[in-house]
Amino acid sequence: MKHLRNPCHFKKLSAQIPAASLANTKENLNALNQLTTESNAIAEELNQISQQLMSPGLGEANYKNIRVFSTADQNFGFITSILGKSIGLITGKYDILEGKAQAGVAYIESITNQELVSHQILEPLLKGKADVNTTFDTILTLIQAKFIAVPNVKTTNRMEQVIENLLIGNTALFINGINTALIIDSRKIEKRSLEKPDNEGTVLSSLEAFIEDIEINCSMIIKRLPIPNLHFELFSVGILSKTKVKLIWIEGIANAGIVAEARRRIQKIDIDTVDGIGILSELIEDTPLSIFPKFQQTQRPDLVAKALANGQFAVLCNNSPFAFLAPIAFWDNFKSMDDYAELTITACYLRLGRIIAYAFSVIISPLYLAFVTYNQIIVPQSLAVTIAAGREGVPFPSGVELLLMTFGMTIIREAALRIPGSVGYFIGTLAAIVIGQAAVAAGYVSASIIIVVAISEISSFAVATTRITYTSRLINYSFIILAGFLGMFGLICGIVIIFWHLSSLESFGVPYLYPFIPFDLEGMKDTFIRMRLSVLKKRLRILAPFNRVRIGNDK
Amino acid sequence: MLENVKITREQTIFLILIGALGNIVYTHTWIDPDTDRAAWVASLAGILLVIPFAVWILYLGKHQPGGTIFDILESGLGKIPCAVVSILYILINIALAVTILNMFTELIKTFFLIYTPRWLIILVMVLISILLLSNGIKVLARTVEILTVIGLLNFFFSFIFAFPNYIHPEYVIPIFDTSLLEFIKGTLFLSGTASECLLLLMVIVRFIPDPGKHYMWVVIGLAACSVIFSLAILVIIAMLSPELATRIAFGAVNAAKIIKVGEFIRGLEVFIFGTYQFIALGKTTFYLYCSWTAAKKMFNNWKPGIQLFLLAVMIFVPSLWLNSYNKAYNWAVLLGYIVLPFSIFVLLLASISIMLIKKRTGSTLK
Amino acid sequence: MNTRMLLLACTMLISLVLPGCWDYAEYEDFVQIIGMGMDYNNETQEITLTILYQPTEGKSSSQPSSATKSGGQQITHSATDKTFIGAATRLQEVVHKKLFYGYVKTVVISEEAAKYNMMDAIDLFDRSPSIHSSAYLAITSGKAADVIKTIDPYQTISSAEKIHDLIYFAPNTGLAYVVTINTFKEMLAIGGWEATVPHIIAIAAKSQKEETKSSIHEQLMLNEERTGAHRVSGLAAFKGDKFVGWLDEKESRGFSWITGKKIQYYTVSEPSSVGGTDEILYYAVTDSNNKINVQMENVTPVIYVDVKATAVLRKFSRDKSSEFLSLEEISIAEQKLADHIRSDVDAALNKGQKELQSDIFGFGFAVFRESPPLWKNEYEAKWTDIFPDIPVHVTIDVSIPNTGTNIKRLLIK
Repeated sequence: MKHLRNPCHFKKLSAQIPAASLANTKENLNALNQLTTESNAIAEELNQISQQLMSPGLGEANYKNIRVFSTADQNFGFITSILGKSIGLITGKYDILEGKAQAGVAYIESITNQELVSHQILEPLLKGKADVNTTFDTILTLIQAKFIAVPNVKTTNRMEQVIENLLIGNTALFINGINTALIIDSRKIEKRSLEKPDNEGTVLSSLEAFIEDIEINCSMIIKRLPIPNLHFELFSVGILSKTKVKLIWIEGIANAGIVAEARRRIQKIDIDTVDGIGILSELIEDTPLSIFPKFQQTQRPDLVAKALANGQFAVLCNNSPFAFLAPIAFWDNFKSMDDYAELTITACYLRLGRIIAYAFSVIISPLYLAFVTYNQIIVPQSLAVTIAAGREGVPFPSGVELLLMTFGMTIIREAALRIPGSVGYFIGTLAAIVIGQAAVAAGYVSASIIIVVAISEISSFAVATTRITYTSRLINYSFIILAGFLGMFGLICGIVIIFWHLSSLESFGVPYLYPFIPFDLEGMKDTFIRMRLSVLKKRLRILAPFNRVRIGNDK
Repeated sequence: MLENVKITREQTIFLILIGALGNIVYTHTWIDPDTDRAAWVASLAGILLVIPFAVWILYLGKHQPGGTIFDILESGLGKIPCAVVSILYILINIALAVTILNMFTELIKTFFLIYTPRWLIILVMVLISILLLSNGIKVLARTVEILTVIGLLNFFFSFIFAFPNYIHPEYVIPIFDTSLLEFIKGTLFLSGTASECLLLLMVIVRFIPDPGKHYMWVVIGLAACSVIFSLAILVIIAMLSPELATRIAFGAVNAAKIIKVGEFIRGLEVFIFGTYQFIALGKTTFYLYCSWTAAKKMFNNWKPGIQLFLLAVMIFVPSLWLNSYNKAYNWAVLLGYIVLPFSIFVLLLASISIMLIKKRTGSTLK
Repeated sequence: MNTRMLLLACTMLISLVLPGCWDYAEYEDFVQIIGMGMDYNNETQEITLTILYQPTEGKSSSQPSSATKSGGQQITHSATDKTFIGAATRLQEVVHKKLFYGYVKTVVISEEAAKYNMMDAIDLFDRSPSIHSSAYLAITSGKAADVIKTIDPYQTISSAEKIHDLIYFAPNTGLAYVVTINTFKEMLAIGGWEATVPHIIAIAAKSQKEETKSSIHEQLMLNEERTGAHRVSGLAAFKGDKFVGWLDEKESRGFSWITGKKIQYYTVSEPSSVGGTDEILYYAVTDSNNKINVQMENVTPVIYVDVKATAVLRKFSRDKSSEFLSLEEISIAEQKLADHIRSDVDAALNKGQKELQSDIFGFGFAVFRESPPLWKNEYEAKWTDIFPDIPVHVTIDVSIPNTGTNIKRLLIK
């Protein structure tokens, strides 16, 4: 930096004011620093005292800074006072290493593997013999190195950590006279076995599904992507539930900006319990009010692996058998793993069929309503006579009829979902066929309405993810109302509004209609159709900006 | 509205396409006494003639990146001339919006919603235009892109059914049966109506990344527009015969009425109507957007929401007052003769501004 | 901000619209008119409008469809007034639902109306979007009301549909072709091409002569009915918008040959004076093409018409000379068919050019296509005068690609 040559000369300030000399200033500065440090220390002490005096909210403030006591009895007493008497805490005192020391062991019965505790912790300690020249100080390291047959052992000297680990299922080992405790991993978690995914059925792909344990879920992903670039990041979310949440991405492929955004959002979460991926996703997604799903929720590990390879990131949540995939586009709701397992042309046909079925489900009943009540001129004449004959004697106007039947279908579907057991199937069939037929025969509704509503409802399920089914139902209702008031004009206005809304949605920075709008030719090869794999060479530009080439690259 | 939003290549192409198609879909019958059978060739040539002016705008935009033509005028000539030009610009945009809303409303009222009051239809259109503008140019460009694609696909798939029964080659060949002078007259009129896209481009140019290099985008957009529009007119002439095609009020909707596929499909005008509605909505939104941008510039961004509302009212009230298709048609024809000269005038002023700026500062603005 | 606007828009929309939907119309609120007829009385200058619709009351899906049979399929009303619209208004007075014209399939116009008052109807159909301009047109020599009210008691379709189907399948007889209102307008608007419309006749059943059940009230006739059948029998020729004459069956076929209308029918070779029916050959025509060329010789345009027909042989004469159908015999068969076609064509040209003096074949249009400035500057004005004298040369080319399933005769031994 160039110094400015100033034409006007400065006189030394200290010549005028003696107190402004450099040495004086330095002295004063030092004194100020010291004062600041001292007051900082006092403030911290005051802080500690005030925290200790605060009423027990969650009990955290109480024992935040309490150290491990030196006798096992004191430790046990403290733990019991915090956890209560009925949590199932098992404590025991033993003479270990042939009387060289006394140890106290504590664990919670229901979540600890008692066999491991007795065979791999207590047995070697009770039977073991210490060297003659081991001193008291090194006994802890000796125990850790030689006698405990469990690989995951930590030391701590804070009671807060001891209690946290006890609640996870680990065992605490205290040695009389030492203010450090050993935390030994001895978890026993009840989990179910791997099963088929319930809602994402496929014919030709793998049939594994996630379960509630996050470590096993991670193992399923790791076995599909055994590369060192697969990065995990652990968060603990939820003040009461302290749920383990893992953010997974492939370093070097995923867009670092998107991953950073996801990390930021997870860290900002402030809520008491996280029941599963549903609550987590609502807290981290953009525009939670929009009816379109801006993330994918899946039970299939193969889908997660594929998404990670595409440059998306995944979030797994403990106690939830679903994974959260983002960022997605609208078209991802129509992609199923079966597309990649079938022949290319079959896959194109199926995917186009799904998209057309979805468009049908949204538009066919409002179109019918517009044609029957406003634009009758386009209906073929023979059909017109049939519709007119069917409508004789029906008390409701067409619009009301259509809304009633559509709502009725929703009620039937919700009921059939929740009626237990085999009665559920029976009721569903009964409702659909018999009640519909009876309503027509009794003259409450016309027959054409039943057909239109049935087609609309069934087509809305012909998609790959079930979340978008409810979207189609909601859009269907709004279109029916618009068509009922203004005919085709209203319907087209509705279509414009829906497209405007879709254009404004973004999922973690990726436009929702990408790669159709904005246009990306490489992406279009796997959107409406699925071209053969040798042609799907590149990843999408926004998702994987720096590592686009899939095939023909050693990376 | 973000200043650093850039629109992509495809969005530029579709914006220009929609920009050129506006009143032209109703007033193209004005040239038929002059060009008769060669109306489709006239439209092909006419819209292509607008390309040099569009490239001129991009060239001007190169000198002031991130600015509209009005920014150039203001820095070159000062506030008062810019304000005068802006007022003229706003008035032309409002007039165009009024005519297209009227013609579209009459289209609906003739064919479909006969008893619905016109104020409701115009109100809904203006409300949806305001809604589309409320989220910024990025979302608007995306929405227009997707609506244009769907509208064009819809249009051409409907007319696929016209082959082979309803297309008569003897109505098309021989192509030329008028003199060259009348043909040129028709072509120039169509250039005039198609130069609505210049009005749009004057404002959009600030969102085009690197306008000097990307002039091909505009060329492609206008070329595509000319091909598509002339194809549409060709199909109408081939279906209806040129003599009947000169009489119709609503271009393709009349033509689609006669398509019959077996007994099942008795006229596809309802689907063509969808395309017309997309065009009308898109154009109303753009006229509103252009006027709004010019107004915001004139009043220095003072309460843009109120300005938008006022402009919408200024479009709504005259539409109701005009109340007639034939009056709107005559107005649209008149505007067709005005828009191109006005655009050339503005561009000349802008070029003079650029020269003045260069002289003043000794270099182009950065 | 945008959610607020959306809410605002929705609120306004719904609150404004809820008071009533203006164009809402249910199917049970109107009758679907499928046939219309127009008569004209030149002395009183009054138009009679006949409408035909199918009733839909009393039909519900639980009743068997066989319950509605004879006589219950259509309802016909007629009204007379000075104008078309006046007659329509009178009809609305008696029909208890709104008259909906969007499904009209056939419009039958009587000869007198076609002579004096065609443009009234055509302009109305043209300008109003509610009547579909793809409805078929037909001209009848009697009264249109009679045609519309004739119903076949053993068929369950209405007369309008019957006429519609008859015209649609007319290529099976080669007598007529589909003329919609739109096609008619095109023929009117295009210079050098006069219009032709199919000719429909209604035949009353023998046993019920003039027994028409109807109720008459002033100038309305309600619930008319008459048993009988319909028939397509040729074409009606126009000059401008005025009807000038009929083309009978032979002439209609000739017209179809000249103008290249689709013909798929069975025909025979000319019966000759010698030899009996043995000598007549049967053909099944599968395809017909035409080409009209115009050449200027001196100052008059000369029309060259090429007619190409493709037929297959269905029966050939019992000549005992050879069993194989030789190529000569096939060419003789082709020639015989060509002669037959030529006689048809000559008859048509005679009628059209010399008698009616109306350019129904579109020769003027061919001159226009040959050279538009010449047509516009010279011939358009005087075409009606010089048309009867324009020389027309017709060449007919028949090809018989196969002789059916056999190539040898059946020899009786």
